[in-house]
Amino acid sequence: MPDNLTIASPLGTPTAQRVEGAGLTLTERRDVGMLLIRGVATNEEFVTYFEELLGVKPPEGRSAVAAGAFSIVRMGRTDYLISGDLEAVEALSRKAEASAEGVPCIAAEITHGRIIVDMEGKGALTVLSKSCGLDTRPAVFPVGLGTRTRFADGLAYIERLGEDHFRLVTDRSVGQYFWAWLKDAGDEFLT
Amino acid sequence: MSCATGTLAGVRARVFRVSFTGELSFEVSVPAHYGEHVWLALMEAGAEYGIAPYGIEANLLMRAEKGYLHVGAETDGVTVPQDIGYGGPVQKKKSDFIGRRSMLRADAIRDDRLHYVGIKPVDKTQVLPTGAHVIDEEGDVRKSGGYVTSSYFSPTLDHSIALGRVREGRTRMGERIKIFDNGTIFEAEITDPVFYDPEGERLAG
Repeated sequence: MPDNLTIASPLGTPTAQRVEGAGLTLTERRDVGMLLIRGVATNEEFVTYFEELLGVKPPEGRSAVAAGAFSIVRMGRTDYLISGDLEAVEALSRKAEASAEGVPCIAAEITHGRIIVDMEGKGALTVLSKSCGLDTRPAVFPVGLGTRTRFADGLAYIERLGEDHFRLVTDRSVGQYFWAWLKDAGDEFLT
Repeated sequence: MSCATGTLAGVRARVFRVSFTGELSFEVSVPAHYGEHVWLALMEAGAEYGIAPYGIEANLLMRAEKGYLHVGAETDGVTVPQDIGYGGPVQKKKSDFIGRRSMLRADAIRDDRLHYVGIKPVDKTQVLPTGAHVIDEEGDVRKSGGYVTSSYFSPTLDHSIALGRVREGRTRMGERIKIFDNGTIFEAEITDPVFYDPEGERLAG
């Protein structure tokens, strides 16, 4: 990548957005990349491909699995979301695409179609309860679990990174709305 | 149409050789976050050639000059390939294909269907209203014989041009017709839909 390469965020600002208050911090993560791999875990070719790419078999549970510098979450029966440093994910994506020939799978880097926001603080659970219908009790939604759900008037992928720390991902096209919604819903914790 | 993958302004890219306008042109796809970076790099590299962005109206005007039909404007839900001049190659296909039955229905092979043609106003300054009807006169009875689907003033040709669907239009090249819109009647001539660069030389650059 060239040195002068700048990321054009859907939020339109030259640097990543961050707002912070006594009970909440919202941070736009332009440094995180995401790769979606889709395949059936009962297919041996796919499992071999996945293992050669990431060093682990496709995870079976719903919680995040570490694979070197990457985190893997099984989002659905055939969907695996791999997250990590943007440049590392871009390199992994090229490798994933190059080695996918003949394998019954799809590998698509989705970073550029998304906005990624980390939400942290004692107000995070309240903002979630204002925005979506997820049951966020730790026994149901433990640290490491990721899921897709309706969020505000759109859709989002939500991963619990810590007790009061969540990663929120939605479509780039609604990025500004999503960011404004979060600031509004978290207003009581941001002042 | 062809496609190549590679690096453009330091960013991985897919470049397609396609043309919506009839000009030599390329479509560039890059990851969305890097779009602005690539845009600025292209503008800088093209400055010495007078590169300039242009909008959808100019885009549509240029494709109309070339007679490139716009699906949804020049066609509707009942259009079949033979209406737009593609009937020959498709009908000659020996193997079966989806849509073949529809193409061969009695209604689809009628001689008096609406054909895709060019419409050139007699007064070069008159831009025909899109949707205006071609008048077919039978004695004292006036019926719609088609309609204008796209209409522009072409600065390149210094003449207004239009595209439309006209009853048996391809058999009526050069015929003077009347076009009616909201109480006004315009005079025009049925032409080939390709108004500009009929040999397609501009596509080669």
